[in-house]
Amino acid sequence: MSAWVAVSPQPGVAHRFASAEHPFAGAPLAIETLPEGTRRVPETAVRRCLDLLAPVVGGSFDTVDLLLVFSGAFATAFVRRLIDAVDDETVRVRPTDSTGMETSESVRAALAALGNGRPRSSLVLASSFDAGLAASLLGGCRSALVVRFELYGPRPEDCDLLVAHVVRPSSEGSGA
Amino acid sequence: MSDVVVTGMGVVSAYGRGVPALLDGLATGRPPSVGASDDAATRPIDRAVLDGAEPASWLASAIDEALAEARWPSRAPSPLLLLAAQAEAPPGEQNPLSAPNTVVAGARRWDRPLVVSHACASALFGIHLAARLIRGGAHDAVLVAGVSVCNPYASESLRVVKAIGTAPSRPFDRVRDGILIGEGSGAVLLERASAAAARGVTPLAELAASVAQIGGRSSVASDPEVVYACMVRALDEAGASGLDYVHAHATGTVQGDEAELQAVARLVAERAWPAVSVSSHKGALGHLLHASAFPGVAVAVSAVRDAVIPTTVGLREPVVIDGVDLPVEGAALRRNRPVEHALVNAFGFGGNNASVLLRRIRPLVPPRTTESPDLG
Repeated sequence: MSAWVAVSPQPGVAHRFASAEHPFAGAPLAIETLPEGTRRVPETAVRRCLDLLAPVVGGSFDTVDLLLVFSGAFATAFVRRLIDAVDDETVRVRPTDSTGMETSESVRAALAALGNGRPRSSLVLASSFDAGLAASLLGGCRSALVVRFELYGPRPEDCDLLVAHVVRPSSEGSGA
Repeated sequence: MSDVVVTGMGVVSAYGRGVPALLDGLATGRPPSVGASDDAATRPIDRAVLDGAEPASWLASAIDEALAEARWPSRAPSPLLLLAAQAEAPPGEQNPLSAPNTVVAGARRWDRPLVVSHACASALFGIHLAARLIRGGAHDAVLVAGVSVCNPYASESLRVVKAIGTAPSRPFDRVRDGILIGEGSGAVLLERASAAAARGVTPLAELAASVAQIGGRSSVASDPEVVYACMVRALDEAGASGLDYVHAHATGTVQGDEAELQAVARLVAERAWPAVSVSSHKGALGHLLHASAFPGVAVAVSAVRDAVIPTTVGLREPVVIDGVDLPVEGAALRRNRPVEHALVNAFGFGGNNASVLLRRIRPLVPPRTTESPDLG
């Protein structure tokens, strides 16, 4: 049993996922673009995804056994941004060029902003989404979140956020 | 016994190639020689201690050592490899911040290994992932490895957030003022206990518990609440009734070291435990960034196996905090009683917090007690 949402900082996410093969099983709860006036960055998109899924997760994110993130091309693009900034003497390296390299920072900031607890365990793989690996890790979880940073352009901001909440019926056992 | 055990380790450090060189060096309490550098933020390895071995060989060296120590059969399939690193390299490009797309060690080759990316806590998050994969039945053995080589991009990433200190780094010292970047590599082989037993291998230590969490109030500062929560959960999940040693993350920053010490002190006070010994390798080696937890795991394995606890090189005027014993730089402490539990901490930018608890492998025959004084 699962529910999933997609949120993008930039327009076009609905088009990308309207007809394409869905990234997770089942129909999405929501596919959104961050509205104008918001900070259109992946961190805000992560927060919106988690906010949309909060009622499904129920209670608090403390009840989530595992938050599993795949951020392959996104993490690579952020490394490229730092390298380019350091190599270009006309550019001032910003603290966010450093902290933003950590995919976890988007997750941390989103969880902190929501103020609704944090998953018991989190794992960020700077690798492409791997359904088999995800399945092997979620097998022991009662409740899990799977986050995909899906880059469609050259910049880290060109990134759709896809988040699925996966639950295992309690009759199947317990605990990660 | 825990269902997951450590059966092999490998390290390349400023003390030389191999875990014994690292442990012997730290046991002296003296810093290693340092290579030349134009970058004041770095503390590169003196290549002479590695017989000139170039950084490109360090990862393979650590992996080879770990597999050899674990007596991993040369003809057996390679264990899954997890790399503690920042990101995958772009197609057709390699840069100093990215993981290699292919890892070759001896006759073994791994293409596009999984990259575990949790800043300076990556190695411990990798161990947590490995344990999950073993406990979930997906693998019997998982190798976690990483390498860190000084480069201008890593230096700038720390300089821009004002984390760099002056030489040498002095964790827990009253005059500590920040991080110096070191370099080296590490590898640890984790196995299902029953699989190791079936191979006839005696584990180095049990993985009693691992906790890996994203949380905290700041992108760069340690959060004492989260640090405390990680350690408590690790101890509780392991059912540990005491704690003998903490190999701290302790990079030498004013805020980070203080947060970690506060968390340890609170833990000890709340459980009414005796003061726990705490030390860090970063005064000797500098900060190995993504690979920084590997020396810590090697030290913690040695602590529970050999009852040896190194001091912190560079620590001369320790901060004073109840419940925490901070041995100043000097020869290692050699306990004459077993070290049952050793905790390794690692924290990183982006709210990455991890604690790994190692437990002593109990001998089949209880050792005889000795009358020699406890030097610890």
